[in-house]
Amino acid sequence: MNRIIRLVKKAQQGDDQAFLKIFQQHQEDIYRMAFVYMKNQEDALDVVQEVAYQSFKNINTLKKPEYFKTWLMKITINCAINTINKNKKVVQLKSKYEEYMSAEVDENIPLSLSLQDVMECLQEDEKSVVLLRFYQTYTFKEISQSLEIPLGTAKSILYRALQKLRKRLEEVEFHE
Amino acid sequence: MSERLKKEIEKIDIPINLDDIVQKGVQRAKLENQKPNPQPVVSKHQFKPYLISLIAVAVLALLLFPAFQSLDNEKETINGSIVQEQLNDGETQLTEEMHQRISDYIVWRYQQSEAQQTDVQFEVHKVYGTLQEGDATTVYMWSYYNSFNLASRNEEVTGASLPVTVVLQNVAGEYKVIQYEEAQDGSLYVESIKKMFPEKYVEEALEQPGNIGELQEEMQQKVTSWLNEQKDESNQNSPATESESTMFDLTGEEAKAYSEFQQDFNTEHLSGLSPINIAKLYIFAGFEKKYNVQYALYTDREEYIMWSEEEDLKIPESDRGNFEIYKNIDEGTFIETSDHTGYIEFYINEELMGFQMIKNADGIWQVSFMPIQ
Repeated sequence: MNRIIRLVKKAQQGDDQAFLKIFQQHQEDIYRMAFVYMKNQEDALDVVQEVAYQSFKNINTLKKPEYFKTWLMKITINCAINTINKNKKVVQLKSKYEEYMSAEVDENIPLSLSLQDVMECLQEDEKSVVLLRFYQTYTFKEISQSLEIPLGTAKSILYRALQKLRKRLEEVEFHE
Repeated sequence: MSERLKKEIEKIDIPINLDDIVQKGVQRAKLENQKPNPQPVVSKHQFKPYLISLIAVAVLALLLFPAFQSLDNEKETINGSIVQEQLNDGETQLTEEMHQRISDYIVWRYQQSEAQQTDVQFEVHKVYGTLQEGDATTVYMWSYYNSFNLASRNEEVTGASLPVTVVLQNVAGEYKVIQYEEAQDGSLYVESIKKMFPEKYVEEALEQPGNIGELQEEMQQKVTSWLNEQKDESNQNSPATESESTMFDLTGEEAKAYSEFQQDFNTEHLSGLSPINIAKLYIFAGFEKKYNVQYALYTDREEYIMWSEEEDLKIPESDRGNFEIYKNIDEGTFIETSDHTGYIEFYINEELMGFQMIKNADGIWQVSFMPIQ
């Protein structure tokens, strides 16, 4: 941790090599997170470049170097969502049928969480919470701080996401 | 519990040019950070030549004054840039009415192009600056738009977030939007912002996506107050007899269990109670703001636990919702979905809801985390 703090401080003085050293430790994570949102390599790489750009440009705003990774994840999520918003401007975020969710909920759903389902049927805010909770193994408190949303909202977004995934699983099973 | 997802994400191939891409991003930032200050402070030894050139410019300006006057009206089109002296930073020049006109106009625009009807639409914006020219005000801003349906509450149906320039004109004391321009997509994005905005606001606009939290919060406030209005209206419309009783009464058996359970949180006190009895205790505890009792009524099956009591007690009052809306649960029907799970079907404002219950290893019914869906 001390090494990271030292490198962040160097980066804050403009040392790009120090910055690259710490950034590269997380770049694969950043790319994979971006891929879940963007669904293709080219756009995911664009997001990574934007994250590298924004994080180095604003490294001075990072007050606590020990939170470097959390800070990067936050920038990654913002960059991905904003790239999506920028590209689509106004689009239907969900189709009509999704408004009629089943009343039945089974928390066993996380057992069958699949990447494809997460990528295809979740909205961006749901992907953020699912990724932070299950990929980065954040607590709800950390998710709420990272995404700047109330704790209760983080929980309800996760629950909504799990419900959607379960609904999808049921549909797949039905067609099989 | 999410091993599969984690493993699948870890299997996403890393492109070989990832390092190059990262370095390009860092280099871009480095170059920008190294840009010279556009208005360097004049040091002592530079003062003399600086003064001489100032005098020279002043003399020239005097000589050419009539010529400048005739060009004045065309100053914006001659060099393609905006004269910065007329700019006002921030939103100081905008009244509430002007903000509202902008939002109304943008909402109206999106409504024209959206195929799907939604119950409500909101637009919020961050103003970087305004340009005043006679009775016309050009507003340089970031616009954030979302539409919502009552059924899906604060989950947005459509959305947009982008840099926008709006020109408002004062026509007989009322403001009207006479011009609207938005940033273009993809590779034209940055260039279009540079064309639309004065140079000093370009960077802020380019960085806005990273600082969108404030606008999202403003949006959420609007949705929440709209949802509350809807709730008030539906309460007013409901029959007087219903609105008089705010919460159900506990039966003798429920009241006894409720009182004993609070003493030691021993689930044995709940033994023999039906899922509806237990759900009533949970709702009643929420109504009485006894959140530790509520947490103790949640399922103790490890695989279903979603957060700790410590985390739970940190949930702000405002996020806990109004438990009075569940008062009809005692008229609900319990539907079993497996040997240890089920839900209570009941109505909230004529909408059918499910309240999830889970039976623990001792055969005692408990409340599922996030029971209402």
